[in-house]
Amino acid sequence: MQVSSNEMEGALLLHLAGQINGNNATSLEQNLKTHVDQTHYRIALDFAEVDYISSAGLRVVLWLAKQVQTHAGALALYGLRRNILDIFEMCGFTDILTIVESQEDALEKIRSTPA
Amino acid sequence: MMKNFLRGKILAIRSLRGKILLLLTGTALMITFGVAVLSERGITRTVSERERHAVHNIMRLASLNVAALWSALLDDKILTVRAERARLMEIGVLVRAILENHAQEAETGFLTREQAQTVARDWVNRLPLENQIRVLIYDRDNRILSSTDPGRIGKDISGLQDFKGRPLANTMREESLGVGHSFAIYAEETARDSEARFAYFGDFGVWGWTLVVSDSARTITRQIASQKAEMEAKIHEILSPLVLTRSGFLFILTDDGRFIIPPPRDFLEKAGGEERARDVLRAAPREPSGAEDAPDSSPRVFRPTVGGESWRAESTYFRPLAWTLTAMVSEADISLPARQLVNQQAALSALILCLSLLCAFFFAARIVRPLTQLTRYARALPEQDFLSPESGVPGHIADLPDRSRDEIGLLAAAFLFMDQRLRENIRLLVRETVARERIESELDIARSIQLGLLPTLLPASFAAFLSLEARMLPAREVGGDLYDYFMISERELCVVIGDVSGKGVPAALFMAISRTLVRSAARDETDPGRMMRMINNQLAENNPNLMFVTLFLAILDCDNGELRYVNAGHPPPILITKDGAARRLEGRGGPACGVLENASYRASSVRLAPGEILLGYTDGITEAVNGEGEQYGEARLLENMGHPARNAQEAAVCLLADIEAFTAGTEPFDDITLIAVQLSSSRLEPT
Repeated sequence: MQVSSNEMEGALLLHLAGQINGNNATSLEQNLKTHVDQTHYRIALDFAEVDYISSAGLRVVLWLAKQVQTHAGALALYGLRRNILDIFEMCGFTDILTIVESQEDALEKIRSTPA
Repeated sequence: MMKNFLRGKILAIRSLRGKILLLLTGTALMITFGVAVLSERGITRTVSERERHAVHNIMRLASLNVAALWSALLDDKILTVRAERARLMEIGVLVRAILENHAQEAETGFLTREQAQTVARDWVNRLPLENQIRVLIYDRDNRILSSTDPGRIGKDISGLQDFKGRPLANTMREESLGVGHSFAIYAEETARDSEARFAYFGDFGVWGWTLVVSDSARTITRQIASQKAEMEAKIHEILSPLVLTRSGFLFILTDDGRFIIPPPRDFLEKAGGEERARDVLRAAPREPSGAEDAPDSSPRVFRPTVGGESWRAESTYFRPLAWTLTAMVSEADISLPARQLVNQQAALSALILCLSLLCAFFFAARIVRPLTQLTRYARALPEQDFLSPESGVPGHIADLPDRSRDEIGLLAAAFLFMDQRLRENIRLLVRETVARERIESELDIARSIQLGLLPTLLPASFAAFLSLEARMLPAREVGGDLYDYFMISERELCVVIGDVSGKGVPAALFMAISRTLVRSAARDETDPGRMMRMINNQLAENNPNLMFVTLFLAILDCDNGELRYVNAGHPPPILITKDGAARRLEGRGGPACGVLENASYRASSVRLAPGEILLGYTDGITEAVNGEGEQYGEARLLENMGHPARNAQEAAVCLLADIEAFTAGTEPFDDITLIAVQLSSSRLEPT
């Protein structure tokens, strides 16, 4: 899987691509940790290119959400494909996480979250 | 045997040592051969030329010797003749004086002319003379008037001729008239033979007489002959001991076939007798010019073959004596010194070659020894126990890089480096293997502990009306899935299936905690929703890594088939009716456990019809992947389960068989767990 990033309107956009499974979840976690350590706590995760996410991948997303929450930041997921959204829904994480349709919505959500 | 020997030879040539020796031998042989070929011709020419020159010098020497001796002989001859002349002339002068005396007497008239002549003739007739000397007087008619040999008186000597064929009496009279005397040699017929005589002719013109004093020429001839013999002996004495080169010789052959110096006997034998030898040697070409007094005129060279041997002959014709001086040297002898020199050179070269080969042999052995040692050590390497403390590089190998500082030393250093790295790597490998084995054995223990957490048998009282089948196939040694079932009252059965996020040991630990929490919650609560809330809060209480577990928990009332259940983020189970219709058991009670503290869980309820099967599973089933990368999927699961199954076992076995057929040998990616429960019709129908 690949991760690319850019900043927009005060938020860090992380574009994920490929499969997020037990084999690469740890490396994704390390990757995200570097961003968090650079005190980026307003993050939009782009799931448009993600084909699959396993429970280990979900755990990493939850971990990121918790880091952001601890530092009073904001996290929004957007562009989820149907099957990915199903997984989030099935696990009941759609209530815990902020999941929106588009990048604009995500940025809007992040903006509206008080710092 | 022979083949092995040859192979050994070839291997010897292929070895470094053999190659060095071969190279050296080849080079040395090439140099030797080249030098021999190049020098042999030059040496042969030079040495042969020297030999020929020596022969030529000896020839010159011999010629000069002969000439000198001949000259001496000539002088002797002249002296002899002069002495003889003087003797005869002395007698002649004496006789003339007496005759003049008598003529004086006639002049004075003391005697008549006839009387005086008669007295004179008588006196002459009675002259006492040495043996061969004779005196005679002849007149103008060439008649002998008086002679010491009385028998001849009165004879006519007109017929006598001198050696030059002139009429002796007249010629001599005329010659003596001029100067008073002359000398001649003539032959005189005697009763027995003709005798050569040397004579003085004196003119006694007063009476018209000619006086002759003669002596036998034999005396002179004998004297000259003895002088000549003496000369020949001297020549023989001087020249015969000369040996030319080795077996060469000098000989002198006269025109009448006499050897002054004969060739050596063995040469004559080789030639096949003296006569044949003479024929061969006479074939020497006479020089065409060659003035009489030029003994050193250029010698003629010819090459006769005698007794199958080739000779080189150099000959000079000495005309005054009619001698042929010839030096003969065998061609083999001429080239012998050259051959000897070349052979000597070859022998020396061979000796040097042998010595240098010997040196090279030992030198090559010295070069090759470290390689041999390395080879032997490398071959023995696999038998070494690298872990034993005694194992190590032997001293003679470890010293190699210091001992030889050439490419061999570099090779040894590289080899030793490899050896050292090999030892390190093997030690590391052994250490890691030990560690891995420990972990594996620990994992095995963990696996059996984990499997021990799973229930095995239903209580016998339930087994009569309840059919239950549960399977867990971990993808690794330990898994993150769990299932459980246990009685919570006389008629209620609790069934649980769950899936922990991630895999391996962390998931297994989380699974064990979850399973324990489920059991303890079941002791405190009877409502599935509250049970799940309790489990979730306890898991979320201290979960920094945000691990979570999806759980499906159901309580089945075996008397009426009522199923109260709560689904915490788990894939919905499937219900299969008796007729073989499969459907999802919808209804989500809350999020997966462990993430959100104080999350609330809502329980649902459904009534199991008799024979209806509840099949719970984990996503290891729907996400099982085949060779083409396709997932098994929920749709396929529903379709596959969409036919009647007699009991839970049959449904479970059928599903597992289908998944195995689908994945067809690909490695399982995730743990596969399922649990199937069925209440038999007999239990429910009576109510």
